Amino acid sequence: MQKIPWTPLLLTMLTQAAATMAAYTLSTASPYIAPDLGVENEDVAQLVAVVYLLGAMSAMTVPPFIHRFGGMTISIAICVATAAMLSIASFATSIGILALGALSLGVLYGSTAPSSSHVLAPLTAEKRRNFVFSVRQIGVPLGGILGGLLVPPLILIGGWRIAFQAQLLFALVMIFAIFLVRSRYDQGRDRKRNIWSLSGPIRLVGLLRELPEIRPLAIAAFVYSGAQLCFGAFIVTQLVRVYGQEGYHFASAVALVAFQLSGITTRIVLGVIADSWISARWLLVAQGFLMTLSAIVAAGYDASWPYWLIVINCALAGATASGYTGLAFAEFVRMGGPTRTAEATGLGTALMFFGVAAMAPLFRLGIDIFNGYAIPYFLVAALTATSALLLAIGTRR
Amino acid sequence: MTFAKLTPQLLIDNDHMVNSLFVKECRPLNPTQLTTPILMVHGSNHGWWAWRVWQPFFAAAGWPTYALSLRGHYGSASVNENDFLNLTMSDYVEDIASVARWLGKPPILMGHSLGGIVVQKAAETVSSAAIALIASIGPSAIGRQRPGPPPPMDKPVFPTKAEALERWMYDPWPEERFDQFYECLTPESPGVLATSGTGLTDVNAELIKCPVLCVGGSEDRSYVPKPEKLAEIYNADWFEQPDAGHDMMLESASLDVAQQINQWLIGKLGLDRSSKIKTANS
Repeated sequence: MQKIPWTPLLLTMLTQAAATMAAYTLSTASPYIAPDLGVENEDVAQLVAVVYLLGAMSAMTVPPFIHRFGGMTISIAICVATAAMLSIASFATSIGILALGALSLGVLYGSTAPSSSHVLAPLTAEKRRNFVFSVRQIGVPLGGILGGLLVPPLILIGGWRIAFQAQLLFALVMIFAIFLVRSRYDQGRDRKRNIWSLSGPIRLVGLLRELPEIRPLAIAAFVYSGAQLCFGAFIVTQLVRVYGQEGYHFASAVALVAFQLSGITTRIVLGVIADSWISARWLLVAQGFLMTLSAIVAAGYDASWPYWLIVINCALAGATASGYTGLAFAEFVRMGGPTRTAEATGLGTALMFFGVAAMAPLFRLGIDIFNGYAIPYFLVAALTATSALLLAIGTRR
Repeated sequence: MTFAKLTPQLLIDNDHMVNSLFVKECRPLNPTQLTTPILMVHGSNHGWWAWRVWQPFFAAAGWPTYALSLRGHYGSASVNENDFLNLTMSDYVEDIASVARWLGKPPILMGHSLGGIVVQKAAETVSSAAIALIASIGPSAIGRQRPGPPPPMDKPVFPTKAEALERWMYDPWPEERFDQFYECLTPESPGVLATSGTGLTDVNAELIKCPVLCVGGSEDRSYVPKPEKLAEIYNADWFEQPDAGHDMMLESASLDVAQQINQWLIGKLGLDRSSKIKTANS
């Protein structure tokens, strides 16, 4: 069977996009929400971190639910959680209610990759695996781009509450669409699976013990995702510091777009390459070293540098730190074996989210301590190089 | 209208490389109650392809099946010649263990001939749901089974066409079909053969707690022990298939043997969500 399971692939990719867009709306609309609720911008934007942290927890606890109810049913639950978040947020009159909305999304946010992988892995031929999982992972930047493109005009047209309410339609359509095909893809559920025992998360961590070859990949997932956030989240502030206010427009209009677009296109290209020519594992090693190069270059940004050089480096950062996730998930699926797809991808998701949660504040702290970006970026470079090296050693064995 | 058009996909057929070992997966598109994977281990000189008839059969019956090629065999990473000559039983046991780990749940271990003794040895340490030994070599408790001197250690072992035909086949195979079979054979390590069937492989039967089935062919012309003799060691179930040779998975008796094994597996591992068949009171 060499076909690509397009129907579940597109549905799960769009589920990911809907959930990501909803989460990022908290950040994009924060300048408008904050005055209405009487809080600081950062208080609203930080709710995205709450979504990610809860998402990491949900990635660890969801596998038994996936085995019991099926991956598509859990995808419906994710869309319901997204709809709940959008509804609650659109009527929020205080930061507490908004946080409740973030919580309702967060409890299932980390379930997107495990549930979709559980459905896609058995339907995907080995020779298409990297491509399929790379396409699935486009859902994240797609959600980010849709949020960036659609949310500001919606706010201008009807205010931030409308921006949340408009997305409800997307979530509801997704619920309906997945419901139509759910029974076809959710067969073979394990109705006896105990969903309340602690064995789920323990089994997840147990993979690190049972499968030694998964350890370097786990470290890489943690570090690479942390690097992704360091590049993506701090690019605007860094370029403002380098170029002054002029840098804000450049960073948000060109550099960030180069980072995102490069991340999307690279996912697909690398997926095809990994399926046909170079193993995903070696591509991940190469991405780690290129990420290192990009971090070293980013450490040296200076006002005397031409813009094009910075755009190229942002594209390189996007291609590596953002573009690696599809290959990484395909590798987690391959190593997890046929019966533990949800567990292996749950582990991968949790580590990626924890990487984001841990490295971003440390990077911020580094900027304050060293009064600049150079040393924090050198530290990021050291981490990415080390994890790429570990991955290379593990691959050679 | 063909069946393929009516139901184009019933089985999933995938190739995997697990720690440099080739694993052929064949399982039902829609999983059934029979979720225990069957891990199939070939005999000497063979590869995963030895199970090419049984894999679709068991998959169609509902079982997820995985047939591996041991190291240095068809589709798996090659081993340099010196290492290959000196392979031991424990290397093959490690191959089974690594694929079983990858499977993620205790499998049904199914081993043929040399693969059978490797499975018995592996079952000491690898958690398994059941074991099916097909025309299998026995452990040292049976004594010496292989006649003649051990193979020379300085070159890989490869049977001639005449030897392969005489030892493994019962059916009169057309020449072209036999040639195809012969082309798929790969050399075997003399290091492993030196300890299999020679009374040198101890298996602690006490460590094997799962149900065991021993299967033999009435027309098997190789040196493997009769199934009842092997069954005594493990207090196992057994049957001997009439008109079946050593490579019974590839012969005309193939599906009859597979049916028997399937029934035995279902009886041992259960179909607990199925309705019980009842008899009318009248």
